[in-house]
Amino acid sequence: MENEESISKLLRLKRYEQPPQGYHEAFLRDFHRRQRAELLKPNPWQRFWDGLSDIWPNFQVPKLAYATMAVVAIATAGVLINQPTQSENLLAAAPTAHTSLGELNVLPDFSLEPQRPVTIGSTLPVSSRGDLSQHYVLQPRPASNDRPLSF
Amino acid sequence: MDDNPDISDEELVARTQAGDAEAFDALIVRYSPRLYGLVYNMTSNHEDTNDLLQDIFSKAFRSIHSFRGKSSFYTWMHSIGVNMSINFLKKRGRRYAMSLDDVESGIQNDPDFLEATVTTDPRREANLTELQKRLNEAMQKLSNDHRAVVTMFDVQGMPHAEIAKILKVSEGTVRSRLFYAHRQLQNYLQEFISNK
Repeated sequence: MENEESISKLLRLKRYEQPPQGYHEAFLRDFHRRQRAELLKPNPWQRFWDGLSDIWPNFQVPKLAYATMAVVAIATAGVLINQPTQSENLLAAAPTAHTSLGELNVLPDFSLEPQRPVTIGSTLPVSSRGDLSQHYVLQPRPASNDRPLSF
Repeated sequence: MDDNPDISDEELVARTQAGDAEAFDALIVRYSPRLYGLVYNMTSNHEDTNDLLQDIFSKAFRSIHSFRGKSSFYTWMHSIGVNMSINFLKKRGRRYAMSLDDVESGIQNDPDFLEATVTTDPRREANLTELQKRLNEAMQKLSNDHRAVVTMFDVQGMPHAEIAKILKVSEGTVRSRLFYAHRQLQNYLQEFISNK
């Protein structure tokens, strides 16, 4: 315990170790100077680009970057303009279904053109319904190139 | 900027947080001597102390908005100081050279100094420079954590509770570290404390 007290007394003598006179006044000035130096220091990205420019002197980093950004912006804008909006997509959805079905002839044709009724059963003799081989019928008149309805 | 003792730390911190940089200057003037003592006794090198102290105040200035007043500004500053000093010492490792400050002449009249250098024993006829060198060598042999506790308690005279807050450990831990540090120092400084 006594030794511990002696150690404490010895260590207290370290309080007499002091920096040179005027140190603390100069410290504040130095602090301000360092702060200003920090402000002037370029940021890491700037240093990276500067380093890149040093390695490749003809590499015009800013101009190239701006040009690239402009091209990308124009391309993006073009894509966005050509893209149909959401409302257009909704409107287009229903007719598209109709059109596609119409193209496939699934829906009945409602046109007003007169059409002869299709009666498959009546055109072929009953005996030949199952016979798909071709057959020929001799017409009473010879075939000609005359128009059938000539007045 | 002069340090006006009538202005409290809290007010200076609030003004700094509001953008008054001169208020922080007042805090630097107020705390740089104490923090210098803390860092110097941790590093035993004046140049390292100067650089580190600049970094400590710079960090405190950048982080001032994170100070919410849960602890005193004094505790907050010392926490930054201790943590940054320990990080610095870890990086520095064992490769360092002592660069000691001058010892104020007042030590010659200090009874503790006279007691340590009394001439009854030839081995204790150590001059001032020798004592300073041996004290710093002994301090550098301690671990960083032990040296921090010894610096704050023995050199700076802080109470255990304050040290515990700064280091974010219990008071028991502080006392335990002090006990082991003192025991180590007794071995290194035997010639100055023997034959009492």
